[in-house]
Amino acid sequence: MWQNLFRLLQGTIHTWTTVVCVILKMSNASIDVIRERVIETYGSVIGTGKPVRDAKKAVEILRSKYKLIVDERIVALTFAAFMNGRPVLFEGPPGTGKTEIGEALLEIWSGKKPFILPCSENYDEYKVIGDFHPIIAIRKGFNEESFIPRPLLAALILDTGVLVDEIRRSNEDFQNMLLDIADKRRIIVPELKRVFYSKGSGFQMIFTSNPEDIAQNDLSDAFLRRVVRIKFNYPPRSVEAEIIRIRSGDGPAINDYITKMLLDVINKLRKSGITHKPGTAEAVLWARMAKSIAMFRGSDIVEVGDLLDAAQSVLAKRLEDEDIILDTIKEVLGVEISNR
Amino acid sequence: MRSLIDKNEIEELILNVAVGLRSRGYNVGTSEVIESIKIIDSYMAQMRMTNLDLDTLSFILSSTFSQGIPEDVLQEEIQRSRIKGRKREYINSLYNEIQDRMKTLNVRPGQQIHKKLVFKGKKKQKAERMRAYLELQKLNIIRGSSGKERVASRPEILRIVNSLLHKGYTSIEEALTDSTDRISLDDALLYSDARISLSRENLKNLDNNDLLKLAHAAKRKHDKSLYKRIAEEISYRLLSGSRVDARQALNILSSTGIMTTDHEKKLIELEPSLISDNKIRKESLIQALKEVDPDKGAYILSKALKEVDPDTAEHIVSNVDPYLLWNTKKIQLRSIDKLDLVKAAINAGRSLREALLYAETGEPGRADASMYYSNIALSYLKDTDKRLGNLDRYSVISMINSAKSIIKLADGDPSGVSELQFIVNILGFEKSLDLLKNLYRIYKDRDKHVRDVIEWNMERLIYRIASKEGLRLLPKFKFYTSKPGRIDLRRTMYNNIRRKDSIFVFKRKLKSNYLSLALDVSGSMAHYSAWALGVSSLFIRSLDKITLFSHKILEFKGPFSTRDLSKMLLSIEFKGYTDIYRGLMVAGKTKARRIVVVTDLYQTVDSGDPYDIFMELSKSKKILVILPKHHNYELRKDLEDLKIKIVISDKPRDAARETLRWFMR
Repeated sequence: MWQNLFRLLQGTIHTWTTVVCVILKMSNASIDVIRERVIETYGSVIGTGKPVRDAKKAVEILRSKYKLIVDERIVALTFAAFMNGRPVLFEGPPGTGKTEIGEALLEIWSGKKPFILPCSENYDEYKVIGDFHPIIAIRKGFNEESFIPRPLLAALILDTGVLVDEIRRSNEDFQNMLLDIADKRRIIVPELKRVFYSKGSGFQMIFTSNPEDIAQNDLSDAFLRRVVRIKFNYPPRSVEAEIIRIRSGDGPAINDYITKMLLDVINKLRKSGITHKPGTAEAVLWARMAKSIAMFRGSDIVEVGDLLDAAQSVLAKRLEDEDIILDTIKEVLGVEISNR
Repeated sequence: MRSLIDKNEIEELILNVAVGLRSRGYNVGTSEVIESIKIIDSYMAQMRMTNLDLDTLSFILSSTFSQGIPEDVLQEEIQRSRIKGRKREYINSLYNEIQDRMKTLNVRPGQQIHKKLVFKGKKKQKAERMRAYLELQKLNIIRGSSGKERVASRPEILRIVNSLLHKGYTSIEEALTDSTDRISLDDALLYSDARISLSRENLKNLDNNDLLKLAHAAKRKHDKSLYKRIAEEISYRLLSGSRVDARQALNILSSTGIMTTDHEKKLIELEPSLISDNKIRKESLIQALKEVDPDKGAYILSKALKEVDPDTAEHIVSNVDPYLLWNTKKIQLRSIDKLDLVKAAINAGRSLREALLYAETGEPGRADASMYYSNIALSYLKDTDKRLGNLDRYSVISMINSAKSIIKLADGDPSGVSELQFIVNILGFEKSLDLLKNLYRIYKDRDKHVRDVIEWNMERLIYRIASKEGLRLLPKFKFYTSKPGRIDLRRTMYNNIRRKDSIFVFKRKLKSNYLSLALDVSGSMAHYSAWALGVSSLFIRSLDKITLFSHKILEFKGPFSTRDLSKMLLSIEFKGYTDIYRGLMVAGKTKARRIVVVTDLYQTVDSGDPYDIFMELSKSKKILVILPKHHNYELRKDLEDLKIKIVISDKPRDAARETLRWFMR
């Protein structure tokens, strides 16, 4: 009898051990499947590089590699926020470099290219964390095999940053979800019964917003309390001239006089009543277009005529603003653009 | 601010700042304070700093405190908190600095001082003594009338030191740099001699002539920084509408390189003959003429055309509104044919002007004068087919025909009414508005058809100014994929056909559209009637309620169509006393969260203090006050203390720009 009992006990232990092993094997396999899928899908996009965590060095890299002139204080504050696990909100009018600088800072911080999420009203967790392929799910069920990871989860797993562009366009639930993820540095996928944790400090978030854009949602108090808010504005004239100089590319030269006229028009338009005020990006684009036109003309320097030719297409974004833009150009450049 | 804060002070300082901000009504949570301290620590580690300047500290705190506290409030609070813990130390330091200056002058507290002794000695010593003397005088440590000056006693000096500390200054240099004391010309010249820097605030007391004298003195002494500061003050005064000596201002502004097109326009308005100066571009005259009222524009143009050469005259005439030529008496052009055309335009413009005055006043002589000028214009016109930019045969004949139609309408003959739309197109906003109001008054109780046409033209005028210079057409609804709100059928069906994720699309009304307008229609605003109506018409798309107040109050509840509004604006007569207090009380009774008040702030009825009602309303509503150039400055200052948004504008366009920003927040 004792022998039978002992054999029964042995068998039970063996069975349960096998079950546990199988479960463990399966769970290991499931993490691998998702991680592998993320690396396969997104790995080549983000690349690899050396992270830089020093603000002063970052400012130099921004200037030399990305051709961005950024206030050292902004870089240092952003890095300080990252070091304390706080997401950053860049706020300011369009064309002041929020998205480009945010992207560059995330790349410098993590050493890898960040993911960019351009927000809209109907953004939800399925679009950013992951969802299930319908046909595979029907065949194989809602599990790791049918799960398609999306950029936010990919960023967490690959330890790179996320730039959430125009956060005010999204709804409050989405904003709260993002904050929770940034705070706790983990993503829960209930359908898979899994929690994914960030393993490094490369996973950071930067939000951008244009507070003057109409018909957008306000950001809740709870959101504003959790982020570090950095205000962006149009740069001082001398800095903007420098930005135009380094970002307008090669080709015919733009002398100080032409740069002055360009900035006069831009600054005047910013003080006017037009809806879409030109940012630094538009100033740079205008300079580039003028250079291209001068080049096609076969000239070595950009002239007022080249500026004029490029002006309307670069500056007039809306029909109702055209009159004011044309008046301003005429006033500053002293010449009228003929309507074609 | 140049003061530096040591790393060890920061934690306690931020705690004190948070307490100070909370007592001022800002919500700063404990977690925010803790996070801010951590972030500042990391920031200083990043930048390898052992101390932090106040500007950077306020920059970081404005980013980490969620309520978006303005940087100037933060800086004030940081200064205050900083001083709190180290009062004794700062008192000693300030007192020592004052003592050093007294040693330079070789004086003691309570001693009499003779100015002559100050200006004795070698050049270097003299400059040092003069500097010390002026600095102590600025701080009121040297006091008394000329010849009877004395140094303050020790208790008086300590009182001054405490007062400086209370204002947030921890060094004499800070107090002197931030000083907003206004000084006389003599003092300013002394300061310049002693190379003590003067801020723009110091210069505000000087009248325009003294300012120019100081500029000449600064130029003689090659004091570039003072000269530039004076140029900035002149620039500010010029752009604010002050009457400076245009010629001298032109020289100063152009030599300091701060001259812009806006300056040129203002200078031309003040002194049209400056157009002949090479420093002023001809385009600035053309721009200035577009922005001033037509009568002033005609005056400026007539003066300018006297001074310029024929080619420039041709260029100017081709680019201005032909109507503005009515006041021109002397002009030179190269071509005689073109000169005939211009003379025709001058007389046609006079004819039109007389017709408009006839519509306003009904004086028979005006109608006759209009006919007279029309005939002269036609005689110059003859068979000419010349053209000068905007000016040609057609534009001259249009003016003549418009004049005839206006006279007919003013005489009660409605046959000219079909021309009204055309006339309004060629006149500017103000002239059109005046004409329509005058005609409306004539036809108010007569021909309904004519009244309808006038109202329709008013509607078009309002729409033109609102869409071109005013608020953009705001969206009335926002769309969501979740409740609450009404289902938007069109978008829902579209989504389902295109198989978008959301099945239903809901729409909710945007709250930002509700606005209550309070318009001052008292006699004091009569001069600004066109401006006031132009500004009011900026808001046609957004009105929930309109309150017209003089000594009577009239309220109209919306929603309003443009036609309703055009009828109302045509009927308004600016007369009576001003009761802002009761007007706002009525305007404030609205569900709208925003109130726009258009007034000059001169309360002339004894019903209550306007400040009280503004204060009451500002607790629950957002208020925007739009003021003309001449208004009650004292009440305006009080309202600024209440943090009410004030917009001062001469033109509806400027008001629109500022209002749009305020509205969108």
